[in-house]
Amino acid sequence: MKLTEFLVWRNRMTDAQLIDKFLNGHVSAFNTLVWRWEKSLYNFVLRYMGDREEAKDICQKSFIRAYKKLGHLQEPEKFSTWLYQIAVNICRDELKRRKRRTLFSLDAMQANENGVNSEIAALKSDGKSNPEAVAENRNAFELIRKALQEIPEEQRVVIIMKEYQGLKFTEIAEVLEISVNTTKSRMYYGLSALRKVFNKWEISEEMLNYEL
Amino acid sequence: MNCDISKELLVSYFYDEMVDEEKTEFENHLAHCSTCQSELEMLGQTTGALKVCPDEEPHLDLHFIQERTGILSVFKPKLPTAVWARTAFGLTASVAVVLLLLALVNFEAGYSNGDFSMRVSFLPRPDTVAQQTENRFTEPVSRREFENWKMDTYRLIENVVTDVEFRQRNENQATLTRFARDVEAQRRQDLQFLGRGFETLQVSSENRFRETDAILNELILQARSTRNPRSKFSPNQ
Ligand SMILES: [Zn+2]
Repeated sequence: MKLTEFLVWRNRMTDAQLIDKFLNGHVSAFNTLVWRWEKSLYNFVLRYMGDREEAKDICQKSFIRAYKKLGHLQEPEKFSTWLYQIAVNICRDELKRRKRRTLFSLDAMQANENGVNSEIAALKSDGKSNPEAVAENRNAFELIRKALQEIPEEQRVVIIMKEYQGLKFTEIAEVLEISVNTTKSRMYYGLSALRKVFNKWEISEEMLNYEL
Repeated sequence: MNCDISKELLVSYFYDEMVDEEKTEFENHLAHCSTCQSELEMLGQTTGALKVCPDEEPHLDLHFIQERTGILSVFKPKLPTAVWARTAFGLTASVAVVLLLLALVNFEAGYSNGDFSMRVSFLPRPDTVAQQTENRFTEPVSRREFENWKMDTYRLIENVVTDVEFRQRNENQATLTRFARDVEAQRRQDLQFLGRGFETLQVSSENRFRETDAILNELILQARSTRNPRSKFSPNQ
């Protein structure tokens, strides 16, 4: 079998089949799992944490932890749920550490505020004056990413899983180990909070849509 | 108008995760509840704004390899693995240094027709000077480039493996042929030796026969000459 054929064949295997292969000594089966899930995991963590380098680092840690603990996974068909759980745990540890670091650092908070303000200013003017920025669509999603950071973490994580990962409320509840009703109410209050952030920054939907 | 619809129900309806009866019931309520209508509008606008944030390509550079590494792992990308995680910093640093050095000395490795070629030089190869003006080691590598590179690496490994197998087979065959030739040569030598042995034996025995013959003839002659004068040619006759 040609190597390319082999890779295609392996790509058709389910997560559970790949895990079975991996546990039987085929390390490369784990790489297929990485290729399969890295993009969705990375984007999830990026929106959760708001920083690319940190997201990359956390994804690597998540996969390494999964690699080491795969033998303990009870239901292999729920690999992705489990992987998200690992990532959420690492993110939460990281957020705690970050909170400790910046709790007394007013400078950092001030800097962040200024960053947001300049971003908003850029967004407001770019629509007319800087076609390149419009084409890159950069400011708009930098701003969305920052806005997501403004709302409580437990609401943010639900919004991201729902809006970007497209998970059902039952699935989100399973990853976060909370009830379905709690998931739904966090979704609602998260979106309300986000709405308030948009209003505070005077971001209208049209302004964002203009960039699309 | 007072509305007793819970936020959970509202969200379920918005994301269409309601059973049919619940849905019909809610829609009946919605038809004349302005609170719920504006709530749904708020959800629509806010989630609409979120859509401007598209997915990005991850550049995790993560590749797991067998912990007990064989010679082939040398060809795999030098990237973080589970083993590396333990001493991540030191190893990453040293790999970075190695890569930097390799980048500095224009390290090139290739494999063709059963030969590894390696080239290390402080000067770029003349024909690549033009392309190397933009240093590819400082440029961000796209996902596609990385995939291509990964496939190239696999292809290289595949080539090496098939080639090694092929060479192994050829070598076995050559060894057998050589062995057969050696045996054949040895046999011929032995035969020659034996042949020569027979010849020598033949010649020497023939010589000995001739000698014996000559002696016998001599004896016969002697014997005749001493007997005959007395019987045939007696002086008394
Ligand atoms: Zn209502």
